[in-house]
Amino acid sequence: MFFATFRITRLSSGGGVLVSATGEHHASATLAPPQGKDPTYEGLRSDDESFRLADPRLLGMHDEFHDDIQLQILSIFPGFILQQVHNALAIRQIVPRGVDATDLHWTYLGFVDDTADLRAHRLRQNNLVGPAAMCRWRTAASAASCSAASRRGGRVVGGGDGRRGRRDAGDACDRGLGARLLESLPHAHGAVMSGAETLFRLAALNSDYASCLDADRLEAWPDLFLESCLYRITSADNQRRGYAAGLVYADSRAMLVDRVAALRQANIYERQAYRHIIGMPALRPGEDITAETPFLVVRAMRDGRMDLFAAGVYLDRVREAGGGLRFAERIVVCDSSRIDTLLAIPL
Amino acid sequence: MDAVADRIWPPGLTRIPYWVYTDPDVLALEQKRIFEGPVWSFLCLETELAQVGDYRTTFIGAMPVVVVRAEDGELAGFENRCAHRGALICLDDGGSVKDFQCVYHAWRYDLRGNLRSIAFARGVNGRGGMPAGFDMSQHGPRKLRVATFCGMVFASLSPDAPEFEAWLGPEIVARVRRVLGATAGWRSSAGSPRRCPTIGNCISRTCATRITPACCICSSPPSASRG
Repeated sequence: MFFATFRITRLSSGGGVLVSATGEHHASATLAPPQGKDPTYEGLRSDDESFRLADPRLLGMHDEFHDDIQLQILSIFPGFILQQVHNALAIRQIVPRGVDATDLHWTYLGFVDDTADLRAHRLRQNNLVGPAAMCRWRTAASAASCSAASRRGGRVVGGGDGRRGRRDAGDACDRGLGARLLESLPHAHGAVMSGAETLFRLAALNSDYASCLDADRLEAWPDLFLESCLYRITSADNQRRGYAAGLVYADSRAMLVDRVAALRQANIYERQAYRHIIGMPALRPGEDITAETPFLVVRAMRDGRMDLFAAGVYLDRVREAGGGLRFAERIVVCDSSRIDTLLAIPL
Repeated sequence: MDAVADRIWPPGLTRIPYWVYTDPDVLALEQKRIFEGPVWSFLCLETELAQVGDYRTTFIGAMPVVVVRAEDGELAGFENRCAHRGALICLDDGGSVKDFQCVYHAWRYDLRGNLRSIAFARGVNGRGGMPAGFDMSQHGPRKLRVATFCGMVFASLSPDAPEFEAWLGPEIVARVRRVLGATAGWRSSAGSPRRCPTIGNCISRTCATRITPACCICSSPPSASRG
């Protein structure tokens, strides 16, 4: 749907399917789509020419392969897929987990000699595929439960251990600072008060954030970010290895607006709702307000099933803008690398 | 339901019966005949195994496997199951080691998966231990054939699988090279800078219908008769 609307791939695009002589492997290719009026989808939802991306940088292709193929999906029997969707490259490995579950191991690829521009383009276009893809759909027939994913490298934040007293009391990195600030609040002087105030304002920002996502006020969610911002969803494993790609990558508020639009208009997924439980921010030193905040997200599905869908930490950089705090950066680091497909609503 | 052998595939190529997706017997046969059959499965990228002793764990179908850069610089792979009691030999996703030791009863393997030592092989105080005729070379995890192509590492459990590129065929080889062709492998020459690092990874789990391998290819029967 999303791909057809934005002409990433359409039935009217040229291309073809190539099957190996043994019939075991295949490569399907889509050539550049037709320009101008295309009657292929007339009357269908995908034909809405009024859909426009707020951030058109998501589309378009860097000519790195020097041919007309915009999209190539190649499978090697029995469990390998090499994907090229414009400049988003990935390997998918199929790992069967039983008759009612399959894991897809995604490896997003880039090259050492990528320019910074091409690299950013790949990261943006990774939004088109993967478990949080803007075009993916999830079947409504799902009745099987998903076991809790394995935890790796999760960090526990908040709550000092009392042995950190050797640190300078003014060091915002002290994990016990928040708790101590609250205790001392009634007697606080100006300087300390501003730290406590920061904490309260962060908590208020987080509660706004949770309410946008949990109460289906998605259109208000991008407003909590600065126009130029970074929002990523990734895993603790990726974060530890320094990999930039993850589940979602948006480097502008406009991309967040587009994600909401895709969710409303293009994505097909089972009706569901989140409940965010956001913990106490642990302040970190930095020019902006920098904080690490643990979160849990419970997901309730249409049929009543509830899962602990995600657990992790928000790594935030926040600035004062327009009379309130806004996110310059929110990196959502999930403790687990495994996501029950589809991650539709942002975390 | 009846035995797998009694299942009847509907005539033609356009209908796929539901039992293909839901029958545990078909799943078990898929593992045995397809994933452990004469095919090649993707394991990891060569760049993940840069140094001797670097290893990664992954799966061939449902089978846990290890792939490692051995002392001679070649890649070796074996089933990630100890020959003693079937425990996982490697518990982590990857790392760098001198050799492998099962945490369960300390059976030790070299980088090629050959059994090298057994704790208390001669027993304790003259009691217990392995029988006199015990031959370590006869015991070990199943070994993999390993092939590399365009910076990717593939493996096969079957001696009957053709060489990797011949198995892909020239058309598919060309289409992989189109995307990853400039990718240098492990011993890249100075003139090939396009080594291919991972920029991210994750696992997505689909809990609805199982994706059988045949479905990603075309609507032909998955099968058992393949290969």
